[in-house]
Amino acid sequence: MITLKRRKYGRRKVCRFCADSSLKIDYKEPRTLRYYTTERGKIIPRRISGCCAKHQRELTLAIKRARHIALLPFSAQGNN
Amino acid sequence: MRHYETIFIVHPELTEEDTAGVVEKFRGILEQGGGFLVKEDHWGRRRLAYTVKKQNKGYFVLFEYGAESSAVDEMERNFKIDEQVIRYLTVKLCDSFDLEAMSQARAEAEAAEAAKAAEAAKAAEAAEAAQATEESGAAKEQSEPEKPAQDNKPEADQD
Repeated sequence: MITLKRRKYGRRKVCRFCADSSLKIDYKEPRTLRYYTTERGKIIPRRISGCCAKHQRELTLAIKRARHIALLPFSAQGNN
Repeated sequence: MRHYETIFIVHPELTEEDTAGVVEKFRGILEQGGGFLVKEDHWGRRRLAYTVKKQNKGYFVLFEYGAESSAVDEMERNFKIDEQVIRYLTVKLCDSFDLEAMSQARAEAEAAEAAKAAEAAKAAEAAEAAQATEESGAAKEQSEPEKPAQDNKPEADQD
């Protein structure tokens, strides 16, 4: 039963940045930040990315900084 | 003094000398205002994620330094005036700036870079020597332990 329930709700995601302290959130590294944006360039919400609140906040700031300095797009595909 | 970091994008169509001149100019402004450069990093010409001032590419330069806010203001004012700088971003890294520790860090970084260059030269020599031995068929043992190490890396990334 328990396994069934789990399958229904899906595995609880763990924050990657909490699990691996060697991973740093840096606005100068668009590659790691890309993982947390959609193809269109939107920031992926916490409920999907599985990040903890602290790291999601840092991520959001980093992505916004990266956007300002043109390392990440504000919006992708023909709109820019 | 506070610890700052500034990235600015220089116009991509400038010649190398002109780019160096622009960077030189802003380094001068910063140091005139009492700033102390810890690191200067040239990322080179990169694609921009979107068009800025009709340019799709830009020459990225990173300054890491300690300075008073007045020096930063002065530099940003000049960024706005200078048409060769298409974007800039200043981030405060820390409220305090330890001048001694940072000057030491800079000296160490410079020493490390010199050591790296020396090592690279050595490695190149070693690689040449290794190639010579590989050709004779004695390098089998060296190539085998490298493979599992490569396999481990992607797994760690997935976690």
